[in-house]
Amino acid sequence: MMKSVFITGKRKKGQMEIMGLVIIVILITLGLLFMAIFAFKDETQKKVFTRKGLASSTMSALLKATTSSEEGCVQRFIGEANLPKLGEDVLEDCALYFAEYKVGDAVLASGFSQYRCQGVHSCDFFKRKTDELLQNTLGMWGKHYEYRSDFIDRFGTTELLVIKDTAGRGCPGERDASGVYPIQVKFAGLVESQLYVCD
Amino acid sequence: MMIMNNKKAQVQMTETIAILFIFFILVGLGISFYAKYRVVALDDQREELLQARAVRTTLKALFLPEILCSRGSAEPEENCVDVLKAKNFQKVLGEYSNDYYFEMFSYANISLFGIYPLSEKIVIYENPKLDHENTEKTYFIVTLRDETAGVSGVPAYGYGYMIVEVYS
Repeated sequence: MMKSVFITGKRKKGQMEIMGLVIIVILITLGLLFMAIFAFKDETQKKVFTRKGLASSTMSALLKATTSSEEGCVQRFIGEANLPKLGEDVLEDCALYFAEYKVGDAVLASGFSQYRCQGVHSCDFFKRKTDELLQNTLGMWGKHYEYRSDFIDRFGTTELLVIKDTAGRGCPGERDASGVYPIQVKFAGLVESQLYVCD
Repeated sequence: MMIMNNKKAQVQMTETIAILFIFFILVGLGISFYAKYRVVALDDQREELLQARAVRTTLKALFLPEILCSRGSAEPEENCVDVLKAKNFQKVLGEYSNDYYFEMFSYANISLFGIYPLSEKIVIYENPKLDHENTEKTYFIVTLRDETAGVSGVPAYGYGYMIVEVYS
């Protein structure tokens, strides 16, 4: 009789200790759950909206922008008609005369092109201007970016320009794309441009 | 035997008190942690509400017919602001700022900045809240159309951005 009471008491004590352990485990799990909620919190609606809208609006504004008359982008042979647009005219010209700009691995800013904005090849001018504009906006707001332009013709795809933020990081991971902006190149092919923006 | 039992009971009592003490410490920690979490969550919620208002105000400003690039009955150009309209918007604003535009933008500052080819600043709407707790700025890149700067009747397009600042 005495032995059975002793055993029951020991068992009860053991059960109590297990209960205590269970409570501690539950409390620790709850704590970890809270930490996980904090750690994996979704990006705010505003951040997503701003980034998604930024990529496409930047591309649209960049390619539509007309060059200043002070740049001296007079088109050889044809003369000055309208102020050339960065996208439609300068980038198109860059694609047409890309062979004069990049010879092997060398880059020739003085190479031939119809537009001679700031006295340089249209590819060089476009690259410099795009870099400057993106740096003064997206770069200043702490965004990373990567701009790409490819020329597509019947022989295949040629990489025209790649412009990254000053840190040179670009957007290798999670990013928002502007979508492809195609520009027809007279009797030659198509230039496809895209901008990626990331935090 | 009795003394032995008493000692055992005392030990058990001390053990129970220690366990209860630790338990209450854990509960106390949990409560304080939860209270802090609620405060942070409330701040986050307030911040999210302000951000949502910033998004709404930015969209309203971007699609404001008074400054949007339009051409007759054709579809208006997206993310494009007509510089001439924007510059003259202040006159319209002066007449209706107390009711119509305040209902639309509330306490906010909306400005346009031209970067290329011309750098300039155009204030669209200015109504700051003096005793504000928090502000939220939204930047958006826009095309700036200028009918007066083009050649041969073709308007010039510029690269710029819009800053919308809302207050809470």
